[in-house]
Amino acid sequence: MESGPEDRGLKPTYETRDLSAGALKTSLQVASKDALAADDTALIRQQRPYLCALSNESIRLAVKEPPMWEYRLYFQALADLVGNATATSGDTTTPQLIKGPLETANWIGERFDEYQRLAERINTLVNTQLQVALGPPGQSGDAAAIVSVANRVAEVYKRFLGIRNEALSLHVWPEMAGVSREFAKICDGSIEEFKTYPVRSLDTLMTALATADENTELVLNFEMKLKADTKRFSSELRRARKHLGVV
Amino acid sequence: MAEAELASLQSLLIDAELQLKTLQQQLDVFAQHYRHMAAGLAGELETLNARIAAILAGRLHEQGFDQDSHPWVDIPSEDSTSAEQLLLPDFAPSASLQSLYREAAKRFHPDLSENDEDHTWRTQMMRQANAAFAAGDSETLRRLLTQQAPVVSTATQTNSVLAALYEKIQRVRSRLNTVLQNQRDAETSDLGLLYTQAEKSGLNLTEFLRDLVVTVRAEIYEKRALLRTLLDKESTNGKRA
Repeated sequence: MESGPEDRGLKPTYETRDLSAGALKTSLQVASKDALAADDTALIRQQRPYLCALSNESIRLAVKEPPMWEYRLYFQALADLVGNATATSGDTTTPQLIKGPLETANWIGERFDEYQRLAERINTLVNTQLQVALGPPGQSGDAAAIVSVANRVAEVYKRFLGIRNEALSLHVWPEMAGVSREFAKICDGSIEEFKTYPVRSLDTLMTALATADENTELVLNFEMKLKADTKRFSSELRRARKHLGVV
Repeated sequence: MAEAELASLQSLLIDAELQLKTLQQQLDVFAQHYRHMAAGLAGELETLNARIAAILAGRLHEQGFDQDSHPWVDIPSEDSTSAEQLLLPDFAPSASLQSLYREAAKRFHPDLSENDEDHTWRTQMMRQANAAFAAGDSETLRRLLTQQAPVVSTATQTNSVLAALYEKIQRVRSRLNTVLQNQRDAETSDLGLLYTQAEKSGLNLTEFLRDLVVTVRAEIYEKRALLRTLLDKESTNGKRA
């Protein structure tokens, strides 16, 4: 860049340097067609209440329907909702749960069962309801249904946050230390996966789309890895129960 | 009175120089990203659009487009992942870097020179300050600010003090107009407008351009299909005739 106070009179001519003016114009047309004005997003939020809690990018995807918008909307909406839930998770303080070691063991055992049910619920939501919402191949999906599935998955995330907050407030008994540690790993791992999964999936999808060939079928894996080390946890729980005299 | 006017104009000029330099650097970085990620594909789409328009207007041969060519065979592959690693990060100067640049522009701006000798020295210093600002190099800017200006020789001070002051006001005003015009030109250039779209999108540069690439690519596939149909139609009509 040569222009500056020392070279008065020089006019920046960005288009003519080594960028094709025609290509730039084409890019500008495509970008303008795909963009939403700030006023539009406010109006769309009023017209489509299911988009209210979502980012401008989610709204743009739902309205402008760019390539593969259904998947992009799902991941973007999930990222928005998980972000919202994370931001407000510190607002509520969980009262200290005073339990004896046996009660603690039972409580953790119940929460672990709940955790497994919740993970199963996500599988059902993604494998059945999301597939219906995305629509059959070659047909457009249903934006409201996609956001609804994202909301339900985000509800599961909120429950995970709740379980973790409750677990944080537990007294850690010496005989329960191993169980608490393994349970904390499960909670933290799941929450971390929830936070990174939508962004990671969106990145994978967009990178693939940006380099995809029209004649090659795109095969992508968007598996959410909520697999906890249940063996270690179960073994620690068994040991603690045995220590407490419960078979 | 004239001194106050000069001080006010100088302040405006320094701010305008900083804004222009920042914008130019931002556009430079954006242009680099755009070139790596989207320029080739956008060029392909532009060519397809032109071919389709020519066929629809019945001017395929006049336009010099060869019916036997297959524009859908080679699509430029801009590998965004490998290219991104070489790209400069978004240009967002820190408050301290801006402050250092302001200070440098105040001290070295060639239009604030006293005579030719001083002008030459300032021009050299300002060039280095511009390069340091563009590179985000605060250290060099700090070092430049410690440099002493050459002593202004009295022999060259032939004009009266007041005349020199008015001349300086004139120079500063003229440069200010140029800077503001350059800023408007940059903002309203196609690259500037595209950059504004990127800023408004709320995405970072890479995300915005990747989004653009995906849409352009999808349009290319659609246009290729349309072009094939039109060329087939033309070919059938030709055989009938």
